[in-house]
Amino acid sequence: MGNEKIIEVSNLVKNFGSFRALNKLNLEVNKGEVHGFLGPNGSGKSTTIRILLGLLSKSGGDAKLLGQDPWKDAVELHKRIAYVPGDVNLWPQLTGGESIDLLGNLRGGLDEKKRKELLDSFQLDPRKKFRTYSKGNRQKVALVAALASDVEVYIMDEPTSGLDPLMEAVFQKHIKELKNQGKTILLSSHILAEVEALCDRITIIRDGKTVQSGTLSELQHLHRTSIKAHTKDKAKKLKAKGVHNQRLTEDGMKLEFEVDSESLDKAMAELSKQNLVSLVSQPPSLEELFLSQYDTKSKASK
Amino acid sequence: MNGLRGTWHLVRVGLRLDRVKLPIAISAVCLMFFFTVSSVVDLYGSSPEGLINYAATSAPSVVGRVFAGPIHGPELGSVVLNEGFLFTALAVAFISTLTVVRHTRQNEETDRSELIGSMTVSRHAPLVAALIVALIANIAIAFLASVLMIAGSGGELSVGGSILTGVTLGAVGVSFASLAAIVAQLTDGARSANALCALVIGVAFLLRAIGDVTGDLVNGGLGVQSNFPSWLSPFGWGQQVYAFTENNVWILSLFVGLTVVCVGFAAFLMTKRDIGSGIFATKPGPARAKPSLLSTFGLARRLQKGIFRGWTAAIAVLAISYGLSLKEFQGFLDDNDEFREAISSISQSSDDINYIFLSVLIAFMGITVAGYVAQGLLRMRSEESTGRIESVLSTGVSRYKWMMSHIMYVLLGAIALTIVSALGIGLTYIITTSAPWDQLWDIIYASLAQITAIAAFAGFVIALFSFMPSLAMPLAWGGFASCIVILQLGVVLDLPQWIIDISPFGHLPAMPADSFQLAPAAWLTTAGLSLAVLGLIKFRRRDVVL
Ligand SMILES: Nc1ncnc2c1ncn2[C@@H]1O[C@H](COP(=O)(O)OP(=O)(O)O)[C@@H](O)[C@H]1O
Ligand SMILES: [Mg+2]
Repeated sequence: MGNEKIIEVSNLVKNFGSFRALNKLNLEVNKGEVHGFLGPNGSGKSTTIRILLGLLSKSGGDAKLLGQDPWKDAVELHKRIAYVPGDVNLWPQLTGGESIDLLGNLRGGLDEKKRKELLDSFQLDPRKKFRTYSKGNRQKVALVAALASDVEVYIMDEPTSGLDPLMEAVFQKHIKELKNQGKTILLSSHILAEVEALCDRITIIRDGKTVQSGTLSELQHLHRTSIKAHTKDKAKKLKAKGVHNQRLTEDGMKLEFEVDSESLDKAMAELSKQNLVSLVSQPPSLEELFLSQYDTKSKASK
Repeated sequence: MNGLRGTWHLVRVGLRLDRVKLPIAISAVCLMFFFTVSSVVDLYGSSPEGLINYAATSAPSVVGRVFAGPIHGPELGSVVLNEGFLFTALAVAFISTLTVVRHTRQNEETDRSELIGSMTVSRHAPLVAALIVALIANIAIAFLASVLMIAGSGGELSVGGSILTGVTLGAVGVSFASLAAIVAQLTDGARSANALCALVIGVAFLLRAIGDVTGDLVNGGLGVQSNFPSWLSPFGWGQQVYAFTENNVWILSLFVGLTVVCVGFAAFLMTKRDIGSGIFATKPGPARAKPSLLSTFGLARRLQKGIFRGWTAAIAVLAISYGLSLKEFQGFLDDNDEFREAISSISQSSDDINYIFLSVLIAFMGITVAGYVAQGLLRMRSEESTGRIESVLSTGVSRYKWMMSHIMYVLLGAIALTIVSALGIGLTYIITTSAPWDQLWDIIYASLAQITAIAAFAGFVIALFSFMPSLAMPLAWGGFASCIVILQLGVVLDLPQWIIDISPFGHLPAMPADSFQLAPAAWLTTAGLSLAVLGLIKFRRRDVVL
């Protein structure tokens, strides 16, 4: 797979009038990876995606898709990508099946077998008029149209926010299939379990800026591990640097704390001198990573 | 009152949502009514002879009976009602049905219903709330129309009659609101509910038109006694009130009765359907697209088809009634020298009064086609503002191709509609007046010349779409309305040339009375083309604006 860059966004700026929606945002997606794109509402995910699709122009910085300029080379590029918008709005008077055929053909053709398979697995009735579909079914229409096209890159903007858990599983199955075929997927999402299950690497943004980027384990590495130690004798608090939030239980036999990953070694050495009965350690979940970003935000805005 | 829990809350939400829409619609309709009243009073207030002339022309006229109604006699109040009542009532009916559908079925389709659903409201509350919003709107109409009628008549019309007229307008509105409450239970969504409401209004209009046309001449040929079909329509009831002469207040009880029956029936139907679907089940559509849809132009055709069909029907009806009016116009001119003089001044070179009148009608048809052009081209804007354009543009359709597909369709549509209007006017005119057949060519040429002004207007709308997308809709319709007003006033008043020049239609010679002029035609076309090209270039360079 190598390290061929499919999406390269650096220092991207977008102004809407005097409002700066993107403020030097960075995003890199390698070939063949599923890349999670996370951020609170209004952080600029959809704006970044619209720039990558050539729907919006950038105000500064650089954005490249498949090595080309998405604004100038929009038409050629679009034959090689499929897009699922966050708010799926199609023509109320067309049926789901008609919309799928139309979008697929405009993109240069649909895989008939795939189309049927997708309709079955998503349990979508293609004969209903678009206006009568629920939110989840509207998303299914866009998903079927995108997933049934054979392209190199799939760009999806919160594609599952209206799906029930059963359909979420179907969605994940199809994404894994694409990943096995070596396709590249940019997945903006709010559903952390989905990102944890699917994504090789993630980028977290806030206020139009990238705050974290890397593989899940890299990011977890940068964060605190939480430890619960059970000792035979009374436990003593640790003196090592990078240990936070130490809590002794009332009987004094249990010690809980969080530790920065770079100080883990020293903390464990100090801890092992005490008479340990059991030890539980937990890497941070994506949710905690994500929340810690929100935290900094609320602190910053105070 | 447990069955209606949440109603007042919904009424407040509804009024808030409509706080711009309804006041604008209501005041626009009432102002139009005011202008009609005051201009009729100005024209005929001190001229009993004029009133007799008016009644004598209007009573036997088929067009007059269809589009104005059954005039009572040569009284000022009757003439005012004949000119102003029917079209105001029609607008009030539409305002009422649209309001009810908006607050029932449209709410169910949008996120608003989720908002409302999270509150505890009873099953019937949304329907009752929608009806109350419509009732409030109609009370406002009744009040405003009465006040403006009293003001517009300058003391020439009785206050009691003016109030009765206003109340009748409101009552017509409430009746249609309650009919809409039934319709809203039947269809599969808001769109089809609005379409069915339009059909109901159309049938009500037609029933009374039939009753009026087949009615008898009374009052020595100066009045009309409608036939029974007029009594099958709320519009007919409204006209039979004859506020300034017969004062049939009892008819108001018909409106009340209809409203009570309809609301009761709608409430019953409401218990028989699920939220988000109608009594009539939706037929499944095609599971696959026809090949003809599968291209950029195929999509544009599908999206534009409905708009084109609607305008074709409207323009055919309008053109035929214009054609019919020419014969009556001849009769009218025979005993009205002043008007004859006024209209002669429209042409530079000709004094063929038929051709001069035709030139005015053809210009009106040209502007009507421009209305189609505005709606057709603004479809691009609604595709953009709803975000549907993003799905299309991200498939590899170029912006240029997408825009051209809509422009080409609308341009071809405008040419087709121009020909329809020429044939509609020309054929009915020639057949009813036994004019020589070669005049048809003159009418077709004159109509085709309008296309140059239509092209200029199209360029204007295209440029608006590209350069000021968020304002394109109001500005385009504003431009369209200005063209109508300028032409209308230009016929009656001596407008300064610079005002006439604002409208592209003001630059054309009065064909077929005057002959074709190359210069204005050439520069109108050039202006339209240049604006369109600028628009195409600009759209490639601007952001997609939701
Ligand atoms: N066309 C626009 N005009 C003005 N502001 C916009 C526009 N589009 C987005 N924004 C603003 O830019 C910010 C980022 O929005 P968006 O990219 O939609 O965020 P996300 O998709 O992460 O929720 C928001 O504050 C939003 O209000
Ligand atoms: Mg978004």
